[in-house]
Amino acid sequence: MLEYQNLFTRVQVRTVPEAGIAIEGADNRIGTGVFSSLAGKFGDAQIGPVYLGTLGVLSLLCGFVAFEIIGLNMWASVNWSLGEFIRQLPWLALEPPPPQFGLHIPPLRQGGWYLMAGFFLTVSILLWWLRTYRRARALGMGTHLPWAFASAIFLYSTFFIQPLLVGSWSEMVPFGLFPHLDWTSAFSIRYGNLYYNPFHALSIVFLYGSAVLFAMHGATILATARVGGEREIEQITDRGTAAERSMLIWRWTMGFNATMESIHRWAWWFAVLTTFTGGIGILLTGTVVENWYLWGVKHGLVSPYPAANTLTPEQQQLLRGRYQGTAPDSFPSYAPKAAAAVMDSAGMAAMKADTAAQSDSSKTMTAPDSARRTP
Amino acid sequence: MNRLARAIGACTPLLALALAACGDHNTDSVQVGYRGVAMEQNYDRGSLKAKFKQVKIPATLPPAGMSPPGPLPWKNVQVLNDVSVAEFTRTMLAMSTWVAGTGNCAYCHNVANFADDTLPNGKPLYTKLVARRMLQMTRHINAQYPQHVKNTGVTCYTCHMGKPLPNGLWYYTNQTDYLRHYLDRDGARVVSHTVAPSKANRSSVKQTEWTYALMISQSKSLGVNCTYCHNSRQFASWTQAPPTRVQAYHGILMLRDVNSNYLAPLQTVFPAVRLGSMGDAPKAQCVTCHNGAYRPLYGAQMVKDYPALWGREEWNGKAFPRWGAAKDSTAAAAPAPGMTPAPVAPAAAKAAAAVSGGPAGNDPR
Amino acid sequence: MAMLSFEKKYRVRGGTLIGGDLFDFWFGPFYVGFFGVTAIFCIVLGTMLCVWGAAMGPTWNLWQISIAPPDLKYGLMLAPMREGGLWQMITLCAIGAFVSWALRQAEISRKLGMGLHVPYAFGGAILAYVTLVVIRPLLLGAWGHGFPYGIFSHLDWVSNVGYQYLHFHYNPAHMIAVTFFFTNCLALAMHGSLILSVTNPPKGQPVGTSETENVFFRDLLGYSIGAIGIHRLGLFLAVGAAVWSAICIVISGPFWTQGWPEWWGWWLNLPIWR
Repeated sequence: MLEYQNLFTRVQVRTVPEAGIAIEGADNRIGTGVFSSLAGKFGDAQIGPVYLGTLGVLSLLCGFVAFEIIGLNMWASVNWSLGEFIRQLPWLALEPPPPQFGLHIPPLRQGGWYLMAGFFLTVSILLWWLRTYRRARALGMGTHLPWAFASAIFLYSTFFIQPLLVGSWSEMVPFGLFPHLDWTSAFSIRYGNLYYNPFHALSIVFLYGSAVLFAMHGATILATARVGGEREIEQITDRGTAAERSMLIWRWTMGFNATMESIHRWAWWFAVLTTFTGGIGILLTGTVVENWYLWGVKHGLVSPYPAANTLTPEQQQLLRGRYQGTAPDSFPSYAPKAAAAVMDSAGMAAMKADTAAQSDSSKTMTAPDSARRTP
Repeated sequence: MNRLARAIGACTPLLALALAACGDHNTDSVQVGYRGVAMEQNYDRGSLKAKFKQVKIPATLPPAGMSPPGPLPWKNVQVLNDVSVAEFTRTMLAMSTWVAGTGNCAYCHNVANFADDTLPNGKPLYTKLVARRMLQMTRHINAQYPQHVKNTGVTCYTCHMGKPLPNGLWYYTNQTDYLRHYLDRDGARVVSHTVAPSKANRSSVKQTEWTYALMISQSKSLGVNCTYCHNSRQFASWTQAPPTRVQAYHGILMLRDVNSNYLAPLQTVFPAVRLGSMGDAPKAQCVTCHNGAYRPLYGAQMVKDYPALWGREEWNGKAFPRWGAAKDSTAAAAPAPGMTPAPVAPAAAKAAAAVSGGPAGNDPR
Repeated sequence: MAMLSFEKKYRVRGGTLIGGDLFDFWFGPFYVGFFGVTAIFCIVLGTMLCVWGAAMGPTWNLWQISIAPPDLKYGLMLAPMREGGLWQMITLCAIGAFVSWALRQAEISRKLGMGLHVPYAFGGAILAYVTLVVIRPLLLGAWGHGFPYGIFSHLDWVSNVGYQYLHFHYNPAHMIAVTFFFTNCLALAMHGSLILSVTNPPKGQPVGTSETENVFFRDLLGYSIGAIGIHRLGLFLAVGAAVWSAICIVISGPFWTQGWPEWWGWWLNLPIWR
């Protein structure tokens, strides 16, 4: 197998950087574009120019503010030690407000910064969305990308709306590399195992399906690159042998095929539905369903296994234990009972009386009671 | 690249893969649940062997010989006054090995007057006061928590491991907030019993992380993973959980009892150097006894040879040698080995006492 | 015969790996080939064994049917059929079917004068499956470590394997795999959107060109990876996701038995922090 597989570009053609199609705000394009041979080995060699209009600048600014709020709060949490900041960075967090504040605005140090960072991040994302819309319009293109982005923003918004519906900011996702993973596990544990949430399952179907599709499509195009398969627009408007071979490999393999255009519709829907169904799954959690496993039991999804333990219902009831949260705030701080005192003779005498009483009671409890012996 | 080089390049990672998972770094898996459910424990053979080697059990002292009849001839014996002289001295010697160094009686005693609770200069011997309380605690654990300690029981060595301060003591800080489950917070449940949301469970995701942190600390204390006690598809379910979950539940009850009634109140006895940053006494958690092993000392049974610490009327068929009882007493018919007597137990423990679980039922522990 | 308008000229002989002209024909739209025969055999046999497994189980509910691997005590032996042997047979059929499918794709690609990227990409996915049900169980010493064949029961396996390591999200290879999956989803959305938006402009606008594609992303992000580049990237991200998933599971158990959060101790305890 000593053929060229078109995985990396061997010969890069250079002329001058492309300035881009003339549009109304062309002055907002920064730079003229530079070439990178390294980039050119894999993709296009030209880097830049970039369009930076008002929306883009505002978006980057808001994003930067959010980034700084998060980073500086993390740094403050290790008492401004640079070494500890770098060392603990993956574990550091900007946490949402604690449960006792419900939906009220908390003090800065107890979730106020978090809400502010979230606000700036959201504004930044929405401004960026507008930017994608304006750029598509300016170039006379369809708005498929903005609408795909909207699906992702929908999922992002559910992480705000679900806490709103459940009634507490504390449910929101913390900022932080490992902490947001802790949140993911805790969220699934809290709501009875998210694997049984059908929208979670659907979202995974579409996520894995997206991987399958891009593997298929990427491979197909690379396999037909020798006959111009990567020139998809031309192949769509004027079907050539690349599109035909692409269709046939799949028709002959699995009995049906897409076209050069419709494969991109499959792709668009799988990717978009990943976040869309995921968002629905989040919205239903804690609002409509509080234990997805039990929901699965109710709807006949749960595979039966032999029981690992035999308990009567009465025993199960007795072993139940208390809920942690019977009220939003059940996290009182610990206060040790009494300050340490020097033992004087009066204290020691009291101590002796105590222990004597205890040893009496423990002695009476040791007699075996055959009536209570386990069967 | 010639064919040979490429073949070698392809095979080497596979070879490395295969070799590395061999020999003493083999992983041994113990299945806990039904097949295909993936409830299992994984052990690295070499490191388990190394850990096992590190556990050294002190040699058992020879059994108590003849003693003068009658009660102990010493003053101020408040706890161990139901055994013979020989048993008493034997227990004291063992305790010195277990906690302070063999023969280091001065760690707890005023060697000028063993009965004294103070040093010659009048300062209280906090070590003796604490040790006295701990003797009561040891008997209490062995007597009241057979559902947890079974027939293995605990001695001073289980926690102290030959040192004055056990491993794994905890003090209150806001990093160890979850350990308060072993002290004064008994609500840890976060999973609802109902499909639809209800007011009964107001736990937040943050509180769930608290419970999760507690569970992870338990797992690490025992060197096991979550599936040792749970089927993670529904953590809350008891019928899908292995029998170990019930045993762990009793362990938590035991720890709460021990911390609230025995260890935390010692705050007034300990000097400041032994207290935590908030002035609280050192407290116990799972790792204090378990030390990273699924059973403390890997199941070595020590207390059966030290009746003074039993807290029970008999152990493994041997009757408690109360001073004054005839030496060759045949009075009480000893229960068959393997059956632990059931003392008066709290309600929940009674309810769960009927749980035998499948494979553990014949376990002679 | 269910042929597309342009298909006839492509239906030539040749490209086969095994069997020559013997199986070089089509069944409707499906190409047969030697590996088509082996694939059909494995698929039919495997499916029938699955149905038998369902019949042996307590339910016909599609969501609940589960065919479980053997107990760990059987080690690497063949277990009795009712005690997991059936699972083993089905696994063999599955591997046979997947490999046949990939080799059939190779024959079709050769026949069409295309590169072999498609079967290689599929090979990445097959590697992930084989890692889960063959390589990892081999390294752990028992076939019982494979996952059960059932829609929701296989998720119970995933959950429990995850919790065997206390908090599987901390597995660094898992983090890389998840990043590949999410980035792949993003890239697919971007690529699908781009092609559709260029070829489906608003009413009255002309269809764009490859220059439009490049300008859009240069304006938006400062960089456009280009027509061939995006397909290289997509293939890399998708196959990377599958490969790193295989890596993340094969190290869990054979090479690491503790909780995954603990693995990060190497970073926290670097001497440089003192």
